[in-house]
Amino acid sequence: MKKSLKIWWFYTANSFQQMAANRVAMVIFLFGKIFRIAMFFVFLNLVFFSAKSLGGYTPSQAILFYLIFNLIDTTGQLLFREVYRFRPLLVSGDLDLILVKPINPLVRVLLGGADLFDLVVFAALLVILLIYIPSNFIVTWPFFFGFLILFVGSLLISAALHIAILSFGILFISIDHLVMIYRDLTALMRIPADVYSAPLRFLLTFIIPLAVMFTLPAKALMGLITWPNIMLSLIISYFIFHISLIFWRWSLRFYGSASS
Amino acid sequence: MKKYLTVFHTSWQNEFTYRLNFILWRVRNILRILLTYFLWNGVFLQNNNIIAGFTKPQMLTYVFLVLLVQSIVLSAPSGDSIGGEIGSGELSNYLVKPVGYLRYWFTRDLSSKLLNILFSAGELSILYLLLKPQVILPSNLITILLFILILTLSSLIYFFLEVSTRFVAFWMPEFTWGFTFLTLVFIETLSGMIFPLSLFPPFLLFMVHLTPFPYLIYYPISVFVGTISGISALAVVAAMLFWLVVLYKLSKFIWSRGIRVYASEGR
Amino acid sequence: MPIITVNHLKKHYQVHQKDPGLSGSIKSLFHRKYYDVKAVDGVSFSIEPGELVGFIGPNGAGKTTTLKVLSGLLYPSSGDVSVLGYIPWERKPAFQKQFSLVMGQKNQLWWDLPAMESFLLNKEIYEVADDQFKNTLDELVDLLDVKDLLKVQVRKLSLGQRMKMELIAALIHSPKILFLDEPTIGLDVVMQKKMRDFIKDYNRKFNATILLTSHYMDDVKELCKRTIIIDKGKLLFDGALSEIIKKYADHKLLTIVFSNGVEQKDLEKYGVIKEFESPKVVISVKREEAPKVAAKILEKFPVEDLNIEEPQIEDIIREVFTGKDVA
Repeated sequence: MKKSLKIWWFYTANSFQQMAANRVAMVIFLFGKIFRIAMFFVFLNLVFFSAKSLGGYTPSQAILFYLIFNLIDTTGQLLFREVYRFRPLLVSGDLDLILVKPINPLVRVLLGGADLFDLVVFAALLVILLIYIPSNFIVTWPFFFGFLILFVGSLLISAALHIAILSFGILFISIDHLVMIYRDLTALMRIPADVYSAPLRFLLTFIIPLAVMFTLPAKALMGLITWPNIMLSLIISYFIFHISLIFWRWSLRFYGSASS
Repeated sequence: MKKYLTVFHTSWQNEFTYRLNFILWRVRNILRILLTYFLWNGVFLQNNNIIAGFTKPQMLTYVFLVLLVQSIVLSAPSGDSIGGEIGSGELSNYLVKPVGYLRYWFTRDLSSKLLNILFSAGELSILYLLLKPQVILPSNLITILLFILILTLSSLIYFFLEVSTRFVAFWMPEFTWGFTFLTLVFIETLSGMIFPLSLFPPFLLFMVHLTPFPYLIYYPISVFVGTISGISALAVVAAMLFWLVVLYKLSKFIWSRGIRVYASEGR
Repeated sequence: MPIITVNHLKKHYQVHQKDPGLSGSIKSLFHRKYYDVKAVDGVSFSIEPGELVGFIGPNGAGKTTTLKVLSGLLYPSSGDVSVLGYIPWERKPAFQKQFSLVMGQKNQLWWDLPAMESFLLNKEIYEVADDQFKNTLDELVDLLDVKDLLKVQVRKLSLGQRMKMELIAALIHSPKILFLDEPTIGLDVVMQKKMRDFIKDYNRKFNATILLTSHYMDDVKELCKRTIIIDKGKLLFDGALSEIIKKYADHKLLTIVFSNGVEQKDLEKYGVIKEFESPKVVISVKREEAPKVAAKILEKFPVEDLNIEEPQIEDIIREVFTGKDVA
């Protein structure tokens, strides 16, 4: 475990170094990411201009939901960026060189390409949140801890979904679209899950638990969720993480059985 | 034990390798529109009235039309390949042959567009039956012709826009993805893919019209629906011609400069 | 006590066929024909520690597949394999720390960083102690003569220099077994020789067991006392190169330089004419008859120089592969 951490840190430091060397790219990407985040505010603004509430939430609540969405989404991209580069690794066969080494391949293939630009966006979001929250909400320590617990749960779900994508990659190779489908789906969670119709909410809670991943932590921060529900979410998160690992191990077996 | 696992998996994998890619691509296309629909559906669910002057059925129609226009205008495989070909040196293959590089990719785009339109027609029909948007086909012959003209112009604008962006690869092969990303973000947000641009606040509306993006999705839809007709329509066509010429010249210019810098690296 | 044992190893795949053209693509969307590929079909051998063994065979013979099974990347369809006492495909870290896999043209070095960084990474992955790392690194750098290049970005190195760095990265944990898959592929003649020399030196100096696959004869000629020939998944020969010659070469080559012009048809009755470039002629003659034929030619023709030689290994193996003389 300690070794994995050490090696993860190594990969991350290298990845950051490489990205930092590319200043033009940094500007372009930061601009693009921030622009995209900012543009959704136009949408929110539109909605609230006509209606006074969104799914029963006030404008400031909706904004918080959106900010937390971005925080969690950015963390996922920050940590798991390497998944986007999995296909070339598969196609070239370089994955073999990773599998023969005495280290869990996930360290390389899931976590090996931490994204520096997303780290910058993450930091910016933290700053914005630290300014926005105190002036609009009262966050007690219990709320905050509830949020932290669910944030960890979100990371587990995010990891699980990315690991599932990797596993699909090993089985079927063409996963680029799959990753983007994941991104499209998560974009639904820019607004609180309550807003969606019941069947969709069910899908997003129990099948692909994006609602658990994005909406619930924000609710916890606002004190809108009870502790039993927090624990239930944590259990769901852990459960899905565990399943994804099983799926991953299973797909590796298939890789060994049939690749040439 | 391993035997049947192997057989099972190998046939499974073989079944899916390339078919899956294709299916996923179609799925993603539909999903994006469906998700926008869900987004709006969710928003309207609570209110069931008017948001910024649009009723729910109207917004639904708009989303549906976005899918229609997008499948015709925004499909061009050249985008994915050109940067790579320049960066890897494969461009050299084309340069020694008596075929215009741009013309080559334009032709390929056309054929891919045809394929895309074919499949989109099917998907659109299914979605139409499922969602039942209130789409009123334009009855006026002039409107129809205008629509086709504008779609053509949009496609061309998109083509040269993409191509110009990709030609960045001549100088900075590592940045191709960066510019691609940026164009993607701009198209996502500024072309009218999520909501009609008329809903933009005035300042933003002004800024957006300094770019070619509104002409990709928003204006074609407006013409189809009839929001824009007559003189305003002509103004739109004029603006689009302007952008077309600009982007065409831009791509040619970048090409001529880039080809001199081209180092044929990688081979 | 063998360090590697392979017992009746079999590895089969199912591959689908696709007819060419658009109609083929459409057809394959609906119905696919599969056929069996027997990549490895009942191969057995064992290798002692410190051996330098070469696997040769044409492309698709099953060499790389065998190597991948030995390194734990593939699960066999049937058969037993034991490497260093482990079952490779269980991929136990303790096993993985003791071998190294190098695949020609595939790299594990980080492109934008100096090679040294990749070495340090491997140090962590393989859990190499600090002092051992330093010693091994110094030795390898010395052997390969790359001292000044350690801090240079890998992307800026020449192909030859990169290969050297790849080798160091692969050997920094002093593996007991080294699997080399097509190590000289894509290299120029000079680089090939350097690579071979290095492999020889390494085997000698560190007593590492080395298995290499190749379809270049020269690799095997230079390096391996023991050669295993594989074709179509089957093991055709396992032994010393000289054995192959004796076993499969039923002929010898007479190389004659004549002092006067000689007609080709006059020579045809003595044997198969391999080369005819007057005044030099190469005739292939049955092994037992070689001395007799040589004597006759010396008698009948004006000969300036005559040599009796073994046939080229390449030719022998080519004949083996085309099924002429199978064990």
